[in-house]
Amino acid sequence: MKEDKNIVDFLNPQKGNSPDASYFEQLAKNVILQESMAKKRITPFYKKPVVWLVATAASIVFILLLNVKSTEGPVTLLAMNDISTEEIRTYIDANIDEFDTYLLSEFVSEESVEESKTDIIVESPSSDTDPIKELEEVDLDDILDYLELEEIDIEDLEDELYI
Amino acid sequence: MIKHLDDKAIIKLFNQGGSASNDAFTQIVTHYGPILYNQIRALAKNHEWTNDILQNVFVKVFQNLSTFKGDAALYTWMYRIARNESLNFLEKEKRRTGVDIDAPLLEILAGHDVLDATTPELISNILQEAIATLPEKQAAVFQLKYFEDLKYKEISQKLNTSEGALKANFHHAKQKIEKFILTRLNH
Repeated sequence: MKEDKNIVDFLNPQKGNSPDASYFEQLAKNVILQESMAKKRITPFYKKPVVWLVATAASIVFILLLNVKSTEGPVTLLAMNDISTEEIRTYIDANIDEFDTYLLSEFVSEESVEESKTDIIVESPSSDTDPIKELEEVDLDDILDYLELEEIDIEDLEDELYI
Repeated sequence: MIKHLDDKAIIKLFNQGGSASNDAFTQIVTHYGPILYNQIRALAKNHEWTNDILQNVFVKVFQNLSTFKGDAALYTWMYRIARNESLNFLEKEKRRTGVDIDAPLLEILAGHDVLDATTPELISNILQEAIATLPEKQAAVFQLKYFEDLKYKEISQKLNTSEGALKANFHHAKQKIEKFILTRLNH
């Protein structure tokens, strides 16, 4: 038989065993207790936003400091590289009296001295100057004063030079 | 027995905080709890699940009642929470097996050929699924009228909706449920 009524009308809803009033009163108490406990619950240290903010700020400062420190080296090296070897030599020649050999040698290791091809500056007479001529220009008295100052006996010198 | 306050008075009391807030909340649970229990029970399979869902619902009500603006009736607002909680809960439990099903929600009456070949347990499950597919308002009206057997006037007060609109909602809900059941039973 085909029904005109809706199929739902052939289903009779059963009155379920609804809990009694005490169940709902207890439920209300449980929820209130649960929520009051949740409010009182102490937030762990690591969950506090302020801790994360401070930690983040400290990390940023630390990273920035590292960056600043690391950029100082290359800048200095770059400046040193800008100076040519010729300029350095000229400076040393001009100020050689002020250099303390002992201090300089302290900073130069033995290995680096061996490995490096150090140019030895040798004083060579200029081609356009004649030593005999220069000597002739020196006054005889000056020569005698110099020999006397150096305590060189003129006779010994004559023997050595077979004069 | 404490006289039940209207929604506005309850919310006002709740917002006072402290013990007043607790009193207001207890009134809400004792007044609306039984009907919400049945609404959830119509979707959930047993008392245990219904109990868990209902507890979650009232926790959310407690946490959010201070932000409730009163645009809708308090029951409508709580029904929405209950429905969402039920559907979310059932979605999570979907793959679980071995769930103990309480007594079926329905008894099959004689007179419909299609129903002769089915069981109350099966048709109860199908009806629960059908209700879950309905729009929120239709589901609320259907459950209040069908399971709670409330008069339209009572539902109108609970949902703050006209009786005419409620009748239309109930009619549409029944049509959709019938179609769903027949489809599931291959008719």
